[in-house]
Amino acid sequence: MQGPYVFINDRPQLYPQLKLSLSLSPHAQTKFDTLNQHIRNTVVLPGQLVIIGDSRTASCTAEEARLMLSARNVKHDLMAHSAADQSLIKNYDLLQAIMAHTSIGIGAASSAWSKHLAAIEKTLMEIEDLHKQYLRKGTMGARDEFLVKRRALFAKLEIQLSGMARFGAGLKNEGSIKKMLGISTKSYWHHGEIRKYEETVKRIAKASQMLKKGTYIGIALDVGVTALEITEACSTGREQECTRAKFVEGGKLVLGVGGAAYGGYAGMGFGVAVCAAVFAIPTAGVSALGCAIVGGAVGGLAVGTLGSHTGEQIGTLLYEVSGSGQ
Amino acid sequence: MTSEFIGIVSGVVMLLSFPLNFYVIYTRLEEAEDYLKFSTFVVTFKYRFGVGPLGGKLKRLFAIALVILMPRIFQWRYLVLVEDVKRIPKSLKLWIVVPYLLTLSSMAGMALSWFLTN
Repeated sequence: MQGPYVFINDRPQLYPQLKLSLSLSPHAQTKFDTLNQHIRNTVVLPGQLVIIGDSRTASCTAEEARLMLSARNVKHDLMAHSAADQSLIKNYDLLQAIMAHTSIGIGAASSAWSKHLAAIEKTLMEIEDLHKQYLRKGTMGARDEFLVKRRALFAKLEIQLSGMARFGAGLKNEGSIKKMLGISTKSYWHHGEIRKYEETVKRIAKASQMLKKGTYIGIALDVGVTALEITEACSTGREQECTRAKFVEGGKLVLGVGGAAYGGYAGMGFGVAVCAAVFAIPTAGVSALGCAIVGGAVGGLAVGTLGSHTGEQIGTLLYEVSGSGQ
Repeated sequence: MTSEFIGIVSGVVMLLSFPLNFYVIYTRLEEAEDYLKFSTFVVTFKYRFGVGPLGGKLKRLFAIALVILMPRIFQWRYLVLVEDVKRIPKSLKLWIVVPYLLTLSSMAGMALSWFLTN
């Protein structure tokens, strides 16, 4: 092989194990250690770049130095944002798809993802056509034929969707980035692609971090505000105000957070249903994801606000009933 | 006073609906989904959005309740067959629909209280 090459590690493995699997010559092994300082003597995580040096020379070339820098950057992003729970690795495709469709990033996975979505969409269209035909005819003979065909199409859909669950929403994924990227572990990448991969990992790592923390930040803020309100009331030295704040702010917190969760989930289902039933948008497509996000956000915000308002009323009532206000 | 009363009742209903919803998603949801395993809406929703806290079951419950409540609209877009929905036993339908409606009514009550207050 001419020139240095890079591939993406697809599963957690020990460095010596990885090195052994490459069957390098003794000469190349020394250079391999030098080039792969970023993973040397550690557990190599999925997603990390592995560099195979230029076998024509023992010294490091400028190109290899560039690759080392890329590999270090990728490692940094993977470690900084997602090493502990591997959420980035597991959700690589979903994040990639979201970002690709919002024109932030493009990469190797998006075409595999789009192909997969297109296949699902095709099956959905076939099911829709079958439904149309059946509802038009409506005879008993047509019904039997419809039931048989429908079963077959749904068996196909089930396989495609479980593939999608692994591929995209991917929370059940065991972290095989090879499958997610749609490439072979040993398929070596061209240099332009590595640069792209490095940039994509960086952006995705940030997106993953933001998505992961979004909900928790919201709840943490709510809890924080509640604590502050109570502390402020209590620090004024008036016991009644302090007790009242505990009831009122506590009620606001419970129904605010609970209501936001309810509203978000109900809004998500409603959003997808409206898009699917009214605007005939395929439920597997990216547009449906948009509908779900919009529905979820609107529902969460609205019911969260309402819950907070009601929680305040209930808290006030409990405070009055408890007799603390006397 | 009326608005406050509506708000408080809605809040209490929402609080009561938490355990009811949890019970239903762990005991009845899968059974209901099985009856609608040939609905593209239910199936794709389960795979596409059935992730997250509690395995996305609350989302799935709300989605399937919508289908049971409005099967004809979903059939209009070829997402479900009304006859599949009719096959679901009445008691199971109630287990799915009642918690959903209870949740929705609590939200509606809160909204009404909000508008009356402001």
